Amino acid sequence: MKAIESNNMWYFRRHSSISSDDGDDASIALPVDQITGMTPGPSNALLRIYFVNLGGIHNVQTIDATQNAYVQLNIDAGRAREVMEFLVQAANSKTHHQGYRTIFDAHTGESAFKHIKGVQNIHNH
Amino acid sequence: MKTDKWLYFRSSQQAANTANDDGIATDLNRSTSALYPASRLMHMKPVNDGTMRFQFQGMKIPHASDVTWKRSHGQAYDIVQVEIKDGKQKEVMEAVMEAINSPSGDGFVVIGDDSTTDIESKPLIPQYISHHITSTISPYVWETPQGNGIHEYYATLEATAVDDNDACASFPIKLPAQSVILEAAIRIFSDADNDIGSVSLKLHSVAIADDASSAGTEIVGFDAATRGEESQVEKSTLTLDDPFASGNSITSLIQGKVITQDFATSSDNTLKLYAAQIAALPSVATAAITVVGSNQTGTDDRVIVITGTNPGDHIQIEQITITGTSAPDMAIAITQTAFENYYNASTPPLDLDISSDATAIKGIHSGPIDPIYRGREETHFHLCAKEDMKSTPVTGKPTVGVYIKWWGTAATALV
Repeated sequence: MKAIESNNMWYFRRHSSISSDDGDDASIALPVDQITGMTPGPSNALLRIYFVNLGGIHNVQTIDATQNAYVQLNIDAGRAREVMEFLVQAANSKTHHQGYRTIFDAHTGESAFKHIKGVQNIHNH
Repeated sequence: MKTDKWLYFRSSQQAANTANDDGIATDLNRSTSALYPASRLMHMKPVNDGTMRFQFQGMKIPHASDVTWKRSHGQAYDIVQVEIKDGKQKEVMEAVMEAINSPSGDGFVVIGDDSTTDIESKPLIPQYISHHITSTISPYVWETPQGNGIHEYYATLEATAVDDNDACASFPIKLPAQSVILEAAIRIFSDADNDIGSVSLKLHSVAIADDASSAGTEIVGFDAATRGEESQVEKSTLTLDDPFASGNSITSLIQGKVITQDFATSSDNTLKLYAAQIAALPSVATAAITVVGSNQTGTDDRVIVITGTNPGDHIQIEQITITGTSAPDMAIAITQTAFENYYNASTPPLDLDISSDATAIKGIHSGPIDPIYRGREETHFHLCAKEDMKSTPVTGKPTVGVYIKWWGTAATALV
């Protein structure tokens, strides 16, 4: 098995306005090796990517948590499997992206995959 | 992620059509599909001849929620099961390991996908890593730590703009009946933008929506009355609204013991026999009937006064049911509490200031509260506004960390 180094990261940004990119729930660069799994819900147009809690991102106080953190993606309805397949491919394509890849950026409108439509929520308290 | 292989499961129990691949709203501990890094696979094992289990480190629950010495059956791991042809456990395990260790493929390993129709109603062919797998069972992706024993849960809540004494945020779990609340705390995580806002923590038997009038018992805050002093024997009164009728049967749970009494000769005599059973409990000193009419053979005795044996001991009386035709109701009332006074054990004994000038006190702990036995009631928690946060709305994102510790079984996730 090929091990993926910890500097393989995915980037997510929720808001189209750059002035809103100012808090824990606004954007995140997520180390792929911290992902614990993915599962759809609570609708068929949402997919959660769970990861080990990073204790806050923007130098807010670090607190213990009893649940892992997650990024919730807006996706095309019923396309959870396709999105997960794409993300696995993305996790394995570090050589083409220097280990840093934008999955979705609402400010620039960039989406790494046609079925990924937005970032609904970033929960990392 | 230490490996480039990921293991995928989708069950037709809830998602035969990919349009239904949306989680399970009625059971947040399960899902319709799940993808795990292969590195989080803990083991595979048979459940029975025709079922095999994959066990993963928890997707939602962190590894830090170590259960050792805290809970029995308190798995902090997720479970996915597949139905297989009888006796083919080893063959399936071999196929899974071949796929995980294969240098080929894109890393997305479908262990089982039962779906037969896609979102556009086009047919799909179910996919399995081994032809010995016949179907996938909805994955257990635990939302809350499981098991019996000591539990802790922490969540951050954003206080909303509500009236004084309204609920302004709800804890995302509820506790099952029979829980014992041991400890609680609240701490400001992010202040409001303006000089508005203070909150306390309350528990209640039902959920209270934001902006609805608060109810229940305050356990952290200025008005919490959580510690008893000057112990005394507790007295409770059980009152029938009508006499027992022939064929009635009363069942109750008192101090955890089931007490049943069938109708015997007369209503008064039935009540007498029932009271005698209560009086036999070691924590009960007396269960005295208020005798009306100088006899216990008619229909006019209605009241039992239960007196505890030891000062300070609470006598838990619950689940009284009377069955049969023309069954009366029996009301429960504590007429003398186990302590003469209750004081606020919160440390410090204040509400939590969440306003922009909240500079001095950042956290309030329940302090040494008397454990709160919830009996047959479920337990919900909410933050209660302790000032008007609506006329001049609290602004910003005032966020409060809430911690609960309890003895009992697993909580249920609400969101």
